[in-house]
Amino acid sequence: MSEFNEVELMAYADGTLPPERAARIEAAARDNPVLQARIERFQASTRLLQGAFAQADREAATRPLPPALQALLQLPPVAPGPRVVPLRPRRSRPPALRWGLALAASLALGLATAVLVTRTGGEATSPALAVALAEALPGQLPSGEPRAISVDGQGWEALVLGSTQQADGRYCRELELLPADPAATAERHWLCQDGAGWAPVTVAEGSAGSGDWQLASGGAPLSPGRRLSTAEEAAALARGWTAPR
Amino acid sequence: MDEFRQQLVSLLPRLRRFALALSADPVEADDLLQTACEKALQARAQWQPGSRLDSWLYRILQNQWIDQQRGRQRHGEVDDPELLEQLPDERWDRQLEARLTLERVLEVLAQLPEAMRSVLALVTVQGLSYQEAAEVLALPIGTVMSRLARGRLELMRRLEMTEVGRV
Repeated sequence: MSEFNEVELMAYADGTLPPERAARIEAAARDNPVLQARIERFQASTRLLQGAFAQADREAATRPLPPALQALLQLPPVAPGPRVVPLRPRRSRPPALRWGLALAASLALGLATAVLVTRTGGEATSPALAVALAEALPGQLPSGEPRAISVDGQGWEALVLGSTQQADGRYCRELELLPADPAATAERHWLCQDGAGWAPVTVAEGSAGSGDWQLASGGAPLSPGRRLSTAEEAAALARGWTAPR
Repeated sequence: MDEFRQQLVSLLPRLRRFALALSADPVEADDLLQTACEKALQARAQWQPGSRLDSWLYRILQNQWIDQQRGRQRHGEVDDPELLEQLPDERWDRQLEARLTLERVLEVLAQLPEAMRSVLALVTVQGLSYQEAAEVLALPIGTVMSRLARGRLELMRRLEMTEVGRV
């Protein structure tokens, strides 16, 4: 029988064991395939559940909330009563392509709509952002996967351009909102984790990288932060944007 | 929309996933989510601003689910200590993972005792730390860890059993 019990091996697999104890397990596992397999089993259970529930999230995103719940929560928050119609994403792409395409798309759109794109700081000024927040899109959408939304009966497309992480660990995401109506103005917002949710950030124009970021709700100034890779973003999405353990 | 409601709305996707992990059924999960949101709105005065709203909501949802389980007298049907203490098979086919569908995982989750499902849902699905899960469930951390370890091994064992049965 092994000197390590299952709870310890699990804590080791999860990376939560004190370093001294972890080092002992690591040394013992080096030449012990049975011990390795026992550890691997816990790691596999995490991958398996997170993979399965990432799939569940994707499916849930295409399934509207029950009407009674929408009514209970007064969704969406903008008056007078526009309809929130979660639709299937119109296109989906292999994950590896998302970043490149998202960046290419944002570049192309930036060129094409440079005059029209505005940055707005607070949700009160933007019905489209209010709908995106009500549908919890900032926490749901992988970068580069557009999602159709309905704002006051008009079609819009929400697209996350990328994610960053602040020095204090909180995540931020850049969200582009493109109206189907060419006469309407496209919007770009930065949203950062604020308490349990996502809140818009005001970014001083012309100061990219200089740290002039501020959550609309106040608090310490933010910076653009470190950009996440596709894999890091996928992991953060799967964890529900909680801090990595 | 007031701030509490707004935060609740922003947490909906995570709550919905948690409800699915507990109930293992999408329709039941949305019913559970609905009832939990109703309770949260009724009890909102008890939430202390500044404390974690997500943990508070997980607790409400979890309690609601337990109440429903009690009501149906369905709990405990697989709480067989002998079954849960069987040593896991040491072989683990990595290829298996790719073939497992969400449905299969949910199917197996649904067979696990509620005490295990709760810790699995909070820690492995929702990403809470052992300590955070212990606080949500009002349990000692050691209990959470031992249930979690047994739950994860049992989940894997049952998934392998069904896989073997189908190949």
